[in-house]
Amino acid sequence: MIRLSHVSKSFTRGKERIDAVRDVSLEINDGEIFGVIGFSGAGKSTLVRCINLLERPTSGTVEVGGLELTALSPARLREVRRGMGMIFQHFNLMPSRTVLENVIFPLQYRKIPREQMEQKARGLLRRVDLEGRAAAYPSELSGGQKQRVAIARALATDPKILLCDEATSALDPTTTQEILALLRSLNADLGLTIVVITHEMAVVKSICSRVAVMEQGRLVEQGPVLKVFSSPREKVTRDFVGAASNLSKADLLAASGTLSLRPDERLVRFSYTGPGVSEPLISTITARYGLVMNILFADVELIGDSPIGGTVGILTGPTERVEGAFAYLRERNVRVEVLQECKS
Amino acid sequence: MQELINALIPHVIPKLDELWISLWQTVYMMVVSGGIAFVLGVVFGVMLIVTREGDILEHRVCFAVLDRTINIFRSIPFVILLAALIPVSRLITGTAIGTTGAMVPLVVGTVPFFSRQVESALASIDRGLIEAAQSMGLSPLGIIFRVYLKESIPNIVRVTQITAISLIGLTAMAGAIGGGGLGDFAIRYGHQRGQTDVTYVTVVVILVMVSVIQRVGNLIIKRTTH
Repeated sequence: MIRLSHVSKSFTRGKERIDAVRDVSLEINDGEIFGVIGFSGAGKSTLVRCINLLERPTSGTVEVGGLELTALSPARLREVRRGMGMIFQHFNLMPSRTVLENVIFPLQYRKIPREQMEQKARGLLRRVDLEGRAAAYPSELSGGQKQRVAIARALATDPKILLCDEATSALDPTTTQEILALLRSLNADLGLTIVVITHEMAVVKSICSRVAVMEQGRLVEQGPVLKVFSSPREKVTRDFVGAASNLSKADLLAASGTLSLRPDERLVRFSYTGPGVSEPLISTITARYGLVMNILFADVELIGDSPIGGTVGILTGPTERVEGAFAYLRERNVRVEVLQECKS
Repeated sequence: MQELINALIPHVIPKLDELWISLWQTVYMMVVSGGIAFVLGVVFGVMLIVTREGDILEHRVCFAVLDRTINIFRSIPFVILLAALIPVSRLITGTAIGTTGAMVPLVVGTVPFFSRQVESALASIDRGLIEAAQSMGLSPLGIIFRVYLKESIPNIVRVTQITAISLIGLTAMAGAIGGGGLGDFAIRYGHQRGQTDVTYVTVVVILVMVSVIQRVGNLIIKRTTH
């Protein structure tokens, strides 16, 4: 169990004070994959560094496995850090060392026979599918391979926790999925607790069970991934959901002013947040209320096993019937937004 | 052949023994003062890096003192150091003249420059590597040796080449306090007695030394860069 209580971290740059993390309290259970999502500058990287005390919180306490890290001596803290692996956006492999030496690197703090360390490292490289590259140098590897080596290195000390700081942000989508699959299998096989910091909703959706949303150093929302993304309470969360789907294009369309509407037309967005997407809602309202819906685009995504998504289009018909249709949709948990109406 | 050599470098042949001695004096000054300066320079360079703001052993006072002391010593011309350090030399080595007497000023003249060079070599280490090492539970000493120094070997070799070559220049000046060596040899015969061929030969010998340093260094850099 990782427990952050009222953690704040501020930096002073010259005369300026930057509050990177503000009063964050958080609990991460053993064996879960927990996501922290936020746009850049939201303080999520600082927050994850507060877990292994690479950044010491200005105030608040950090507890890992019942130990209050903020109260430990430097030597004891180093010991605890060996129980927490960490991987990074830019991999941070030691360029002068081979892949094998990189994986051995964290083991060299105590006198283990060289053979035993190598054996352990080779086992880990097998785990991440890089057995054949033991003698290569990091510069000879692709991004995905580097991250695999970094994962093997992070696992060398048999940690219970793995911290991932934007671990897939420098990778292409296919490689990202490979790394996420690896993380998921490590979580399943070793019962590893994984904390994932990212700005990509796809990452959270694909592997996390719970998520926390950060904005300007604060934790604005947290809960099970489906719940948070299907019924977002905060604007920033909606932005993430929106940015991940095509539906946000409608905002650009409305803002551009290129769309000219007749008096009985309006640009609408229907967002489905939960079960019900399979119902033919558009057909129902057009038939029932005698409206015409010109669909511009539609997008439905799966989060966990539940679909969320929506439709954007131009709805034509008299106002009172349109209002009736809106009421019908709202009853069925569909969020209705009129993005643009005729200006007259 | 013998005649040709005699015609080209008439004044060198009778002084071959002395040239040989001068060469060894230069090598001796290089090795001893260079060796001491290397160790001190690496120590100070590392201290500058790890005590700077935001680094693993941040220490404002330690950094400021080191930083300013180095600046002061770097701004003193070597010829002045040679004279000014006479009492210090006498205190440390027991003599202020000759090859041994030149050691103290050579070290003092080299260390500040080399410390800066080491500092810049270590500064090019990616902060992410330090962070990764910290996350693995390495101690500050472990980080210094296993990350900062180990990962900057090619850069440290590169700045050592530069410093060693400039040290050859300094040893030549050390002749001014009777330090001997190749510089002294060239000044006494080549310049003061107008035996220009002696100067040329000396320059060639120094050129060979410089290329040996360059070659050996490049070889190490090639072996340690991946």
